Amino acid sequence: MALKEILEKYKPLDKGLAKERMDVFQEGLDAVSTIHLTKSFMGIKAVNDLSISFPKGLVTGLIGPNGSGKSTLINLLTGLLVPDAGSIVMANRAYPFIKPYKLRKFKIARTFQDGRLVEQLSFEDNLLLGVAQNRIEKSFLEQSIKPYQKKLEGILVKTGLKDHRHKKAEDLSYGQRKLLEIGRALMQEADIYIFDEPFTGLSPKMVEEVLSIIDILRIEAKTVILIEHNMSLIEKLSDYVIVLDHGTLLASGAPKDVLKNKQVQEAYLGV
Amino acid sequence: MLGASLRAGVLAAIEDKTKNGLKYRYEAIFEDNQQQPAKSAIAANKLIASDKVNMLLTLTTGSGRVVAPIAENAKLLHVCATLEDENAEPMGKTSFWQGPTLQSYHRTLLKAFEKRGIKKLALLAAHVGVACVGTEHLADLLKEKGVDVKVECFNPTDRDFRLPLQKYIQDGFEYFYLQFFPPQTDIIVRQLKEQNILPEHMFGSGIDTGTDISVFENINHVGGNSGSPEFVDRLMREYKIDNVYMAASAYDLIGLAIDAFENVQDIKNIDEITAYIKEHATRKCESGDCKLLPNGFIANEAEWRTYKNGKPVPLED
Amino acid sequence: MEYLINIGILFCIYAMLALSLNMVVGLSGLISLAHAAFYGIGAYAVAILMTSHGFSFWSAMLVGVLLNGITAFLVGKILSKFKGDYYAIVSAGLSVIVFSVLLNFKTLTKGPLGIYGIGKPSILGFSFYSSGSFLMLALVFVALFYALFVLIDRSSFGRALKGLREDEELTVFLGYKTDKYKSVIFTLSAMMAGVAGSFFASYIAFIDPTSFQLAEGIFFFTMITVGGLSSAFGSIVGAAILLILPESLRFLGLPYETAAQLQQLIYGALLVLMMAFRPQGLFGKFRV
Repeated sequence: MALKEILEKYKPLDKGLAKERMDVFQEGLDAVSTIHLTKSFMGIKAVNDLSISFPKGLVTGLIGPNGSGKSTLINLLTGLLVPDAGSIVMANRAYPFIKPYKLRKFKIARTFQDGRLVEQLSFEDNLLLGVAQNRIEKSFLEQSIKPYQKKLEGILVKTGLKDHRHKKAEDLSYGQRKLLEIGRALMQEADIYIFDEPFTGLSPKMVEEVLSIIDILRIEAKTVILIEHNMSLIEKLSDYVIVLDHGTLLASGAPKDVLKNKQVQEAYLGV
Repeated sequence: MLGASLRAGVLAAIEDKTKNGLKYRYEAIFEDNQQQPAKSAIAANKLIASDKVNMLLTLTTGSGRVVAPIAENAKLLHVCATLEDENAEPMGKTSFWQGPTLQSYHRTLLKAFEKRGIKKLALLAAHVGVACVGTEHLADLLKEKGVDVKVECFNPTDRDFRLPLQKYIQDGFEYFYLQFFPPQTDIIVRQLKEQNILPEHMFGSGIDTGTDISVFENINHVGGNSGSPEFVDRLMREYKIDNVYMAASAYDLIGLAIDAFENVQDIKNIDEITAYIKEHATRKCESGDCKLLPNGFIANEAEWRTYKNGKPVPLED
Repeated sequence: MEYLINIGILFCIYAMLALSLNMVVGLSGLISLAHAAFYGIGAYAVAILMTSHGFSFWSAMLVGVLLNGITAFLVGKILSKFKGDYYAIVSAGLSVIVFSVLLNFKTLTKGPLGIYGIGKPSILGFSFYSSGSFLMLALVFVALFYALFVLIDRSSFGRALKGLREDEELTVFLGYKTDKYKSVIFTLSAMMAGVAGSFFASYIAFIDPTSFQLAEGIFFFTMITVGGLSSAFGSIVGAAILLILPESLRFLGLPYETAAQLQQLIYGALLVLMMAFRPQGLFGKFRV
């Protein structure tokens, strides 16, 4: 079954929730937003005076041609880069930059395009790394994984990777790595999930699994930021869409409207 | 490389004593300790336990101090060929050491410098064993006699002395006293020659441990251990060695030990053996005059030599 | 038998060192060449305090351990600015500096003359003078260090270390203050190396700076690389192999001139073979 067919059959669960949360968003409740955020590399502004907001509890598609600043924006939000100017608003506080080890506190989880795992570590360890005790004094005493066992089993089922639990990360296929990463994010029980092209390279079965994962997150009122190039995916999955171009906001709004926007279509010419 | 000459001395001693007819047959077993204390301990233990030796011989104080307690524990005789301060602490109840004393080196050197009327001298040494401490002491003695001196000690890993040497030469130093071990020995002599310092203006101790004897032609040095010219000649010919560092000390020590074993009632009785040695250690030996000091040190007087055609030759001074 | 006991004691000392270094290199991916320095400080603390100031073995060892702890903590802060090869080079610098101090600070360390007459430990009047009893004591410490390694390995602390050794940025991102983790493990490891040094000084009864040069630190490295990185068992195996192999050469009756060179050749060949065919070592769980 090709992706197209999967998507045709796909019906997102409870889009009704989306409507409610959209109304709330209009009144200014967002999960994370940026204020005049700027970041340059070698003189080129990758993110240029960007002020945008991601609605809470919704799936937001973040799209834009290559070089539009999507990755830079995400790296800024997750503390892997430090902004040149502007601030990031999280949990109702503005920060000039994010310290990456604070992401746990902010309850943000993220996956990377090619799956960023600790290669020589086991499947289980990779899953646990995001949630295990991170205070040094206590981490030495934490010898057993019992407190996480239940969640771990649940994630293994959710991602369909139960049979691979004893393998090392480096022994997994491309698709399995990405699922493992999603699993790691889910283990963290975050409030905000950022998925960077999660569907690329997945088998049809895996695609279905990820679709259902996102559905459940929406029901659980989690915020999902989805970076994708496939427009049909974006159309079907997102409740809200943000389009970037050359580091600035090109358009934002409901998927149907945004994707019909002439400027958006021009920007994507050739992609 | 330091061991070859020692080995020759040991084997020569056995050979000579055997000629006169002996009660026992003597066999020498050699182990390499790579100048590391840990290895000395292992080697000693192996020799005692596995080879069941009756005595141990070490080279330099470092190895000696490691092996001394082990030998004492096993109630075995231990002898050590080394250069030391005559007031050094005894090594152990069953240990004796032999070599030139630092003090005799200094006496000999002072005489030589005075005779040549040297008024300005640079003293350079390696930070190994007593080399630096001894050299600093020598410098003090020279200062008392009104000689203009400069002392410098180098790390054993240093390989390039050109800059400091240039500085000394610029400051007007023509005469150099050197106390190093290989490979620094060769290097510093070569580098001095590069700076046009004459071999006759170089003085050293421990010089005879260099790896290329031709480098030391005509250099004056003090050593305590080469023995008579005939002895040196024979050793170099018979055992195909190119330097005789400590060979005479080893020869004397083994000779003395063999005498002890031959003349005691019970070779396993360490008290008998040490008593014999204490009685007979002071004598005329290959290294010159042997004199037993209270701390177990069998002291030799240092000897003044130069190298001619690759062989150490006593200087008629 | 005595010979074997003595080999056993040296094995224990090297095993302690291997375990301590493996925590830093194997578990945490920090290529430290500084451990010869910590080994030396531990040894000299015992040597100086026992012979000149009448300290007991245990209090002298404690001083050495604390000294190592402080040094490692401070040096660790500098080292954390570097990665990979640069970490190795800067840590090697510490070994060189400490060796230089040991060699030149004659009033304290007696420089190249070394310190002899170092005593043995005792507990409640019982002195560990015999080599058999000394071996037992050393084995206890090896067991302690082994257990410590395993506990760290299994804990979440260990997992965080393993995360940061491969991808430090990711590990920070997942919520860990990796600088602190590196500091803790480096300091702990340095203190353990100091204990090994203390045992060495007491066992050999005479120490001089030549036992604590950079080359020694490279030897420790070889132990864990051959035996296995990130593995407690591998550390022990590495120490055993690298101690026993040269010793067994003694019994082969090789010509005396070549024995030492052959030993070096074997070390080198082993290292190269390992790196080429089994970079994680015999029982290792991590490839650098």
